Amino acid sequence: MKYIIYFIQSLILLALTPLFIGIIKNFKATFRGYKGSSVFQPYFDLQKLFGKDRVISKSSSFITAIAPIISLSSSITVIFLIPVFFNAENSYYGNLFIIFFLLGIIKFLSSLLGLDSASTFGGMGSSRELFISMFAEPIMFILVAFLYLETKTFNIFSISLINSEGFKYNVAHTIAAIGFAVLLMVENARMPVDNPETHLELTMIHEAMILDISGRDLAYMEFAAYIKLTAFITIFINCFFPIGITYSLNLSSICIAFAIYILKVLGVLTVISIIESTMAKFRLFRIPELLSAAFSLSLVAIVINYF
Amino acid sequence: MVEVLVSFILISGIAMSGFRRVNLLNRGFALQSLSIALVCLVKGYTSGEYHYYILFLLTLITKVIIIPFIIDRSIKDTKKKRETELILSGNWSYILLGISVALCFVFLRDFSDYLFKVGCILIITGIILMMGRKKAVTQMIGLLTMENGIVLFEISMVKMGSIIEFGIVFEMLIMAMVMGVMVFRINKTFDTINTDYLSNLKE
Amino acid sequence: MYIYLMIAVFTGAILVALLSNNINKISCVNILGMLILVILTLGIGINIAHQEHIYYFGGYVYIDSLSQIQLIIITTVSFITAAYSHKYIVDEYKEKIISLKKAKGYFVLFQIFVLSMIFLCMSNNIMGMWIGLEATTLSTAFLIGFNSSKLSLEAAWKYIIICSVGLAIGLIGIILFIYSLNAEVNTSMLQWTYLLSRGNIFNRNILMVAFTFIFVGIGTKAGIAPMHTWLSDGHSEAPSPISAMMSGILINLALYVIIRFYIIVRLVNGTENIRYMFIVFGCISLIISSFSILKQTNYKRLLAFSSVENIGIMCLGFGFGGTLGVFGSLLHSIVHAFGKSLLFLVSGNILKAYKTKRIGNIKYLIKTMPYNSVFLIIGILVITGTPPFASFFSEFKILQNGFNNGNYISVAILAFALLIAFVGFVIPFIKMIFQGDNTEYMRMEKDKENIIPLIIAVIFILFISCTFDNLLYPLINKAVIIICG
Repeated sequence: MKYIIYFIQSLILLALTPLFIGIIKNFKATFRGYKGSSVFQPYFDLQKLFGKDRVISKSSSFITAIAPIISLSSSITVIFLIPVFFNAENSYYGNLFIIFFLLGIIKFLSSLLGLDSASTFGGMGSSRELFISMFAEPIMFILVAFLYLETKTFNIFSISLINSEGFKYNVAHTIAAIGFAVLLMVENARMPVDNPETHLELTMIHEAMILDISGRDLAYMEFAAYIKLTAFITIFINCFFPIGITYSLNLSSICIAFAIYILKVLGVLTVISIIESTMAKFRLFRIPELLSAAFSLSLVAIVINYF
Repeated sequence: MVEVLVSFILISGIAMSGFRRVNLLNRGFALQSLSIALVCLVKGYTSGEYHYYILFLLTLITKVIIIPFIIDRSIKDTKKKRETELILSGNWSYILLGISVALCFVFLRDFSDYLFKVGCILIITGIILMMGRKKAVTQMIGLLTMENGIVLFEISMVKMGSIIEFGIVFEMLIMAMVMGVMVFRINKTFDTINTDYLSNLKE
Repeated sequence: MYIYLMIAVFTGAILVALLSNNINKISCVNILGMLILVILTLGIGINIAHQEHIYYFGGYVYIDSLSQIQLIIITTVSFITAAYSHKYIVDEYKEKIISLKKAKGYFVLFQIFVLSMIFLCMSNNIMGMWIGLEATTLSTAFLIGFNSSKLSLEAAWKYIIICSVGLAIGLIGIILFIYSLNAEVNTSMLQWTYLLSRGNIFNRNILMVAFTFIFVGIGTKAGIAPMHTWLSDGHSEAPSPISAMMSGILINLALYVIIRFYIIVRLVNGTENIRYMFIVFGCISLIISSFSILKQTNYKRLLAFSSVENIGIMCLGFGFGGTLGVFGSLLHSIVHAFGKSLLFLVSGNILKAYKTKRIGNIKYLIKTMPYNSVFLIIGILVITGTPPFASFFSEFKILQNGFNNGNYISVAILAFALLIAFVGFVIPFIKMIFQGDNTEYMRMEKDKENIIPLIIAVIFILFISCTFDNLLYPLINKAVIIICG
């Protein structure tokens, strides 16, 4: 029975993903003082892209054919592997390493896609993306190690369950949460690492890699990026602040848990939009400084937890 | 509640060691002092002694409001407000501080109090800020951070040491004023606050 | 009664300095205030001779023979310096080198400086001692940067940073000191006399760590090498009367604070090896300073390094530990105060006449400034320790004590350093005084100015050299008994 609820909650999350992106864009517009597009605009954008025709460059290889589909499928797989608002024990799937490596497949394939189109901007975007992830991947693994040291398990369902019992917000937990927040902004190409609304190719990192695809492929890649952001936000909320998650099967507690989850997501989206509106993008070679600060914080979190 | 505040103090300490702009260092120092003042308030609430409340008020007024104001005024006329050459660059100072935090926690694991360890870490942050930078203002902020660490140290070790705490707070205030005037004068005379030019007196 | 009079003197002098606009009047009030302080100190001294120690204000003020010695040094040297700075500041104001505000600021800061030193000396509270030291740092910071030239601002910045860091480390030491009591803390625990009576409840390991922090931290203020780096710049760039006061009194007082803590540490069992810290740091100070004296080209910096060397000698005396050594150190601190201030005041006169600080530019002082050169020669003889002055006897007692104790290596280093310092002193100054080609030298008009403070200083030196064995002997002996237990 609980596996059916897991399936349904992941489907709901999949359906709500473009709405979250629309909420971010609307908050940013309100923050900046103009009336932005409606919150349902990403749905219409994706629908428009599905109707358009594909144009593929002659010098590209099979990567352009298979990369968007594989990215989308791995991101959808990730959504089905994480808990959202209902969490009973699960021993069949949910290992953190598999989740992060599936998300890594998206990064790998999009880097190859950028190189594949044989335009200069694509290659530049790929090299920048790999440069940043060279510093960001160790932080990810150290945070996974922190979660293991805290709860003695790698399964994300068990981590979430253990962290939700009792008020465990000690020093190490808060510091690791801030480290993961920095990682969230870096991995999903948000400010202050990469401006998602830029149209100048020399400043792009993530957008540059998908410059040369169009039509359905673009829709797949964009949707995969949206799902990656949602997955990260859900992992952040459920690993570090999982209060309110329910493990009983009656309807009222599930509805309350859903409402609390939506509130927490809205809170995180507000913080993301505030950070995006108030900070300027960092220079490329200043990003390692930010990441070494996050690395230092995660290291400190592990040491405080252990001693 | 104390734990969340202590984590803010630690984060501000680690973040401050890599900042380059003097404005950000100023705000980081104000955030740190605000967290320390709130820690005093919480301690006063749980233990019921009134001298914690007085310390909270004093810390709030001097370190959160007056001293950042003094720092702002004294660098108003300088042209370049960020450090361009650092002796200890940003990456290295973050990692060095992270390793020192780890070592601190390892060596002091017999003490059960968090504030003692965080006090030691703030002192080390102050020393790294003073040694690794060239601008006179950053050295001043490093000294003030060190004194913040000593205040935390003192709260955790010696209960009911009112004279010590009041002495430290007033001394920090007067020292910040003296150093602020000194930085202003150095800027007027040398036209820069880079201490590389302050090395004319040799053996 | 004495304390109220002292407070009245200080408030009166500071108020006059702030309100009046006549430099002459401010300066005269200054000198008068210092004279009253000298008389008050003599009164306290007569009281001390009858009883062991005096308490005032319910235990917050505590004066015993050790503080009495420091009080005598502070008030007499301040009186001499005040008399000197009258002519100094009034002349600079008349020649429009400094403005009225700056001159008034000088006198106000001077008063605050002396006030904080007296507060430090008479305080029974260990936190009060630290507050006094910090107050002296803050008030002398502007006095060092008085000229507002590039070099003096640099010296002032170095002074503030290094001394503040040192005092912060000293504060960590004091906090650890109180923590090592292992008991609930109330305000009476900060009294020095209370700590003296509870010698057996300290935790030994934490106490040793605390004393190390205190020694290194407050040793920065005392000028013990390798923490002495601010001293050569600070004392050479400050105006001459301020250099005299800082070199003579302030580094003495910092050593006094360390000794107060040392007395308590010695009461605990198992801390006999702490005295090696004094010996090691003293030897390092001696070696570094004596070799630095040899290659100086600026006569004020030479005098500053000689202060470091004398602090090294005093540290060795306290480290050797017997009654002879401690007697020698206390006597040496008194003579050094007067001798060094005499030397700095003479160098102030020479600086005003010649307007240069380089040794090479000054020639044939015996013909151009005969009075000052006589005082210069007397000063050199006092500082380097020639008989019949008391400094010879103090250094000899320290050597003798070290030899008796069996620390042969330190005695050898001490003798070697004294020899090198003698050579390093005599050669540049003799070149300045006696060397010159035979062209016609005019006697300078500025030679006759500002001689009276120098005469007073020489009178004090002669007084101490004659009476340290009979008249002053009980006073210093009582202080030795306090230290040695």
